[in-house]
Amino acid sequence: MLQKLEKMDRRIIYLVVFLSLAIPLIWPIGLPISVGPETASLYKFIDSLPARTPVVISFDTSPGGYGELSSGAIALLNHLAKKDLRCIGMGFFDTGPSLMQSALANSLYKGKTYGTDYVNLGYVSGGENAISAVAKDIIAKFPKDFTGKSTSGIPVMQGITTMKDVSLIVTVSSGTPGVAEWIRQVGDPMKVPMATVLVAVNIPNMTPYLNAKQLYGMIPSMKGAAGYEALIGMKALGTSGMDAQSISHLAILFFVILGNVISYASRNKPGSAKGGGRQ
Amino acid sequence: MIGKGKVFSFWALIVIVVCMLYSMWRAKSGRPVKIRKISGLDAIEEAVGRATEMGRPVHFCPGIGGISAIEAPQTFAALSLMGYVAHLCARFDVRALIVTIRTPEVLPLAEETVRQAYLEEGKIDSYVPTNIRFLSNQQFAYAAAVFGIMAREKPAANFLLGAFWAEALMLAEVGSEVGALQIAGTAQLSQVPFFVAASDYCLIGEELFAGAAYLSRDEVQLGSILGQDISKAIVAALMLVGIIAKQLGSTYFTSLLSK
Amino acid sequence: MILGFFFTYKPLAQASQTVQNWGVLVSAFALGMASVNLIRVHLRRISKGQELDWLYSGALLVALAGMAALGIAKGPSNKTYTFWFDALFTPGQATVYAMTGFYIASAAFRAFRIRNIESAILLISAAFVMLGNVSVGEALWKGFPTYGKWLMDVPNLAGQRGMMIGAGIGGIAGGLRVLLGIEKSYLGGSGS
Repeated sequence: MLQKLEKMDRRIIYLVVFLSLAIPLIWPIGLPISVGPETASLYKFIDSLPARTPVVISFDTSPGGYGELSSGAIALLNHLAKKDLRCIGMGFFDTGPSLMQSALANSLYKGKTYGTDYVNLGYVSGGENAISAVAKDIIAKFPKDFTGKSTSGIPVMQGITTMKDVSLIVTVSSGTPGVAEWIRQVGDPMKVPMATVLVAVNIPNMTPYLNAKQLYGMIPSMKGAAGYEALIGMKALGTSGMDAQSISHLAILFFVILGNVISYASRNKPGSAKGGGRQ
Repeated sequence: MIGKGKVFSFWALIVIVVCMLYSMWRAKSGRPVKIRKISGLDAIEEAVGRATEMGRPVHFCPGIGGISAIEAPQTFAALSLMGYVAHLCARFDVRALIVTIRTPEVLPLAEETVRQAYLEEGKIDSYVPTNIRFLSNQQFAYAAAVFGIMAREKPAANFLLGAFWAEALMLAEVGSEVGALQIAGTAQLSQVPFFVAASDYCLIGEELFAGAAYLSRDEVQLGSILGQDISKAIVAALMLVGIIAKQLGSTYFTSLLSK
Repeated sequence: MILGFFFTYKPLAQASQTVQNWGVLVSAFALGMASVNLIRVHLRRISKGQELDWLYSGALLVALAGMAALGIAKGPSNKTYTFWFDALFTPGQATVYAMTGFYIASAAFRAFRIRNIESAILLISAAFVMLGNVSVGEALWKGFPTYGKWLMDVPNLAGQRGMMIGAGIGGIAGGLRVLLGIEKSYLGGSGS
């Protein structure tokens, strides 16, 4: 029995995890949502910005990471739209601008005017070097926007030449170039407030920046998204996803405990074989 | 002269370089450097030997980073280790060394590294250029392609060395599923826990950079590792002094860092 | 490039920028060359006609050619391009990324075994952090998020900072060895 459990087909584990994610999404439990201090800090900062203030949103994520970041990104865009802030979008991942189009279409910016209230400037290659170049002259690096229209004289970019002219930069980040590159090239040298919507696996890496006040705030993964949705009063995917995340974490912990119980019982069984084999 | 906010970084770089040059000179002038055992690097020969005995291929992934961004040192370190693995594969007549590439500019370096290794071992006829494969420059398309290769080819040894991101755990788990002996290593701190959990041997952070020096036992390269340790000691001392100074109310070190 | 980063002397910065631009050009050409490698491998597979491999290789080449042609001819904001990007590419990538959740469960079952005091501490810490990050943990006990956050902010961060410093200095050392020509094995020099 123990040997059978030890050598359990991995697909059983996958099935249990799948069910632990799927069932709460279909039948939500309604567990309470808490708001982290880093999320509250970002919310307060954006809430304090006057109307028509320009904010840069950089989508530096692949489609894989976007699955985790979309709820936070859309909640952020909804807040910016509610506050009537100018949204200047760009991306330093080649897939970033396309994902931004998708996020804008699912946010309150859908009902606003492109070119006046928001713009998607598109992608520029070069990673950290490109961020540095864009920071010094935004329009020069984006002569055309994502849709191919000229950016010269565009109303949303009025009064903006360099990154020093914007009030906040938020990077929706799942890799490199990401937060560290933005802080090195723009946040620190140009003293522009920075924030991020971030995947869970990068949270420990970014905490030093938060503690050093190089980041004003963070929407960490789906938990942060759920908290931000609660703050702006618009519950969406982040909130509904937290129940699923809770149950799946319990499922994983169950398997860890099961593994240890099996391991302990096998060790104490007389005549038990030591060590595993590899096929 | 020196840009604002970069003065401390500049002098820190000078100090680190001086430490390393001094250590390399010291090692070259006949004072040997002792380096601790790194079991992941010692296991490379065991892994390739396993592949030879089982008649299965070896899979090597030099990370998904490039050679021009901040993760470039990891890619170069991985390519150095790939050269060593390629030498062993040629020497032991491994069925195939499959190298999967995500970043296009790494492809010619990988091809040349493996080809040169086979040439130096006198086994150039065994070198198969199509085993060095560019799969996709999209992260998860690359990962999915590697899953397929590992499921079909069932490598006996799986090397995951270099810069990795979210696909790290998946590559290691699939390798484990097909029964490969896995040696992984990265300086991407977010991925180290996944490699530690899912692979048999893991090189953490600077162990990856020390790889070429450790395996070649070249005195000058080992000397540079001593230089790294001296630099780390200087950094630790500065941190300690800075913490004490801050506790005593001095902001000198905090302002020094931002100069 | 190193000098261009530190010094404000304009010609240095311009020279550095020029080299970086060359790097971007080389990357673009490398992508073209890598595409040739990809096409070569898959055409070979189609010509061999083994099992279903040729079908998948054919699908890859059709998708590669189709999307490239569409993107070049009509731009990436074109409706058809956007449709295939949103309907196929994005969900495909998101699906593969989501598989990490399943793999972490099987890795945890296989690897997180208490063998000594260190692994016991690791396991208990992991439990605190996992439960501290989700609503159910906070609902069970307020201590989970509090102690979970402390574990992430204090011992974990201390270890990460040490590793970051080590990896950073290791990167400088590796770069110096490459620049001085001491390490040539990545170019196919003797690696044995």
